[in-house]
Amino acid sequence: MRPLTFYPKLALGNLWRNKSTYLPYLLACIVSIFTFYTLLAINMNGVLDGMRGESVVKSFTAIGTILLAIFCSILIFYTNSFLMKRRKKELGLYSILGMEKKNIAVLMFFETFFISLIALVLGLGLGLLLSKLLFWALLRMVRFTVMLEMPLSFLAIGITVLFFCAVFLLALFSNLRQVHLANPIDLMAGARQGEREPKASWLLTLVGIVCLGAGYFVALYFRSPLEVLMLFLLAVLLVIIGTYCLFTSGSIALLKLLRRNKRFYYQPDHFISVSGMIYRMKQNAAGLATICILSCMVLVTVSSTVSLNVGAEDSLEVQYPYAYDLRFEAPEDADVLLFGAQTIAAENGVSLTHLQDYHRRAFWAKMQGNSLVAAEEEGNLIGGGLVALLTLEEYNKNEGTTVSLAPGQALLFMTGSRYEGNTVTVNGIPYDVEVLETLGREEAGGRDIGKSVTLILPDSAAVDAVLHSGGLQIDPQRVLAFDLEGTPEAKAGFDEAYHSYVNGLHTQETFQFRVREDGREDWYATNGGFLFLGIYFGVLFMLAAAMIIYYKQMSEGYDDVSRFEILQKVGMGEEEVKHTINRQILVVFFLPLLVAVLHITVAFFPISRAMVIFGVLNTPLLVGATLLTIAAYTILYLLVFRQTAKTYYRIVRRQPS
Amino acid sequence: MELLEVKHLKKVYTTRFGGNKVQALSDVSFSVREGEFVAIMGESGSGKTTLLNLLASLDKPTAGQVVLRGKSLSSVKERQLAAFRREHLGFIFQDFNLLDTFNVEDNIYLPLVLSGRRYDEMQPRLEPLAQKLAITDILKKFPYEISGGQKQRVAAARALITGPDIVLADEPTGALDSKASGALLRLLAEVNREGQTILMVTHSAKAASKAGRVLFIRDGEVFHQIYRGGVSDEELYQKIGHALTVSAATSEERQAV
Ligand SMILES: Nc1ncnc2c1ncn2[C@@H]1O[C@H](COP(=O)(O)OP(=O)(O)OP(=O)(O)O)[C@@H](O)[C@H]1O
Ligand SMILES: [Mg+2]
Repeated sequence: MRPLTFYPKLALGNLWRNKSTYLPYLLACIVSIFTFYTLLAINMNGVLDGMRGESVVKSFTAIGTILLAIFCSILIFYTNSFLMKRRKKELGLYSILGMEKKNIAVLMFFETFFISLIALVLGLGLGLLLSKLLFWALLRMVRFTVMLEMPLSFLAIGITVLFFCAVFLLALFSNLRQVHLANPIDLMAGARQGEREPKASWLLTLVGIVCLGAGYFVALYFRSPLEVLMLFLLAVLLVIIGTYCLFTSGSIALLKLLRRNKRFYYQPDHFISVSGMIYRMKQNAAGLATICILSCMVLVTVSSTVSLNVGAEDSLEVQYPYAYDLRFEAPEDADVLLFGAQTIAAENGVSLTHLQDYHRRAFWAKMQGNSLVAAEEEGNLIGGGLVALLTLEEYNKNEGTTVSLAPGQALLFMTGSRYEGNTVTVNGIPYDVEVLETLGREEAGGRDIGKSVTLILPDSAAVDAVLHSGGLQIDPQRVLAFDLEGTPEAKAGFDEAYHSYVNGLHTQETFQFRVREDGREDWYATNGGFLFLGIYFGVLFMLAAAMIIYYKQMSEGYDDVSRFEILQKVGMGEEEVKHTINRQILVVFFLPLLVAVLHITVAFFPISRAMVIFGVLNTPLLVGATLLTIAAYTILYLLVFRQTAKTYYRIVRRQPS
Repeated sequence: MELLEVKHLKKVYTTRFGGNKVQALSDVSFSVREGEFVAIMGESGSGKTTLLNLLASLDKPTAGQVVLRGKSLSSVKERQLAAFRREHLGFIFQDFNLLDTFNVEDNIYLPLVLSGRRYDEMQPRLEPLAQKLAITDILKKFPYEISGGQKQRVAAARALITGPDIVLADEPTGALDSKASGALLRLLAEVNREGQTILMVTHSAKAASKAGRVLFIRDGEVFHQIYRGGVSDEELYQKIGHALTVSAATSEERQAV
């Protein structure tokens, strides 16, 4: 009978002896736990409650936590499988030396127990410490004015511990299964296992092509922002499945095709790298696909985050052409509020500029070519838009112009897309139109979610005629909009005073009061959350990708030591070895990056369409942000690649005797 | 003309820590003629592998030189060494050293591919060789799918396919049973009869008895050699056995002194 402390002691000893193997694994676990806890705590600790933008930030963190849970599990399983590969020989030796499988299982249990304990303690400790910091950073970025302490979230700690214990347990079970199924000789040959040449499965290749194609199709085909939003997840899922299938099987099929081409294959460079890659593909296709998907996640999150934030100001201009915009159901209220605004402006030393004051009658219309027909409003934005009618008199007053229109003539201003043609038929009444490039501070063109047409008709009789012929009964809405001019302090003073003035009115319910500054505040509540999470995820995914790359290189390096030794004995020089290694690593590592860039190129279209919903319509800006992100990521990738290639070379280099 | 000349070769290993010095070879000189089959015998630790590594330019001698076809190995530049090895030398190792990533055929092509030969000229070279070595049927298999004896024949094919000036074999039968050993040695003798120069290191008298000349090394020096001189394998085997007992006796004597 062995003393109770035998296995724990042996397990601890093993961990210590294998510390160079376990350290990166531990690191992966700690990073996973720490990020998972941080996000969960931010979501759960209750301090976000009741704040502006709370729901947006909360749903981000919730989705983020789920995504994170999936990726942490993949990461831990992946690193664990490398770990097992490296340790199989040792476990096989135990087995040959007479340790029963039952005892090995106990030993492995204790090893898992200790490593998990260390990971949880360090991960949570770090999480508690750094989450305070991160939380503070998040608050800073979303420009909340209140400073808050981040309290301990015991619930978050509990969930984190439970979740990771489950993951560690599952990993342990999969390890135990492997050990249980294998005989000692197989275990000893652990690293040599899987050296059977992989068969390319045409079915898998087919599934991969179909999924990827379908994913791309879904991503590219649907154009309306709402459809894109609904279907983007489906596209992402299809592309992920396709990527995994193709990396697993398609790449092998391709390489075999290359090998069948004798002229190509039997060249010094291709010979070793192609065979090496075929040999590797099976072991590592999953790893490469994961690197590829992670790279995609980094690129998508970071580029859309950057786009959103750079686009925030830009889109504010689109959404709020004027600093203040009031719309009245009872037109006479406008006089009161205009007077109020002018008085308060005078008191605060600012002046009202770009003042717009007009009556507007708007209705929903079907748009077909140059014909606008009043219709029931539909949920989607296809084929329809808003038509607003204005009189020439008010137009001239607002613009300070003296345009005159003959009967049957009108001015037309359109946003959402360009207006083609010089006639329009509205509710059956034809007009010759002159298309305006600007209306007040708004610019014509495509930078808006939905289409909207403003028609300036000769007089109110013409307006009534159009409404009547469309069977419409619409009370005019009076619009009051203006900008401010003055020092920032004076503007802030006006803003505060005017808000409290407006809020104090008893007629409040009968008008809309939209302020660009309020919009901006909302925007930063939303965008700050995006930025925070985007960067947070970007960093996290990048860490994960780097970790997997590092792991791959280490494990392959140890596999390859004997291979390169033989190659050198047979007559391969140092330089050629270096060259071959670089070539092999280059292809293996840049394949995921290349595919990721392809994915992001396709993803750019739905993303840019979905961005419309967030008010970002500036396509050149999106292109710039995406290109910049790709460039930055490639540089980081290159650094990781160089570092791992160096380490790899150090491992496989022939020891000088 | 001598194909290979080994002149006063000396090798001293310096261990990494403490600076302990091990003299593996003290002063080895011999030469090999074109078309010879030479076996080198010696006890474990006598410096056989060390000698072969120096001949193969896998390692540098402390003193002395190796001359192949009148060209000193030390005059070959470091960067060209690998190519030199590939072009002029063929290797057979005790543990085969086949690559698991290649099938048998590609393993054999390896040195040709590394030299940048065209595929069209590889195949005609392989065919007769494969037939002679009886590996035609296993060309498409992978190393883990064939037996030890087959592996060593594949390794021999890889060493021979470049038509090297000299084949260096280190304990080629070390991992084989007697039947497979016999087959391999017969094959080596046969290619030698066809003109291939072979230098084989072994501590098996049975293996050495296939050679045309046997060199004995001890304490880092060549202390004896036997020429076949037209006798049968069996007789040569006897001679070697005799030489070995004498050698053992003298070394015991020396130890007694
Ligand atoms: N890399 C090395 N560093 C230090 N000493 C070495 C090294 N290689 C060999 N030696 C020493 O040199 C001597 C000769 O070794 P070598 O391997 O040449 O013997 P061998 O004749 O091939 O033996 P065996 O028949 O067992 O293979 C031995 O004492 C050995 O310990
Ligand atoms: Mg030896």
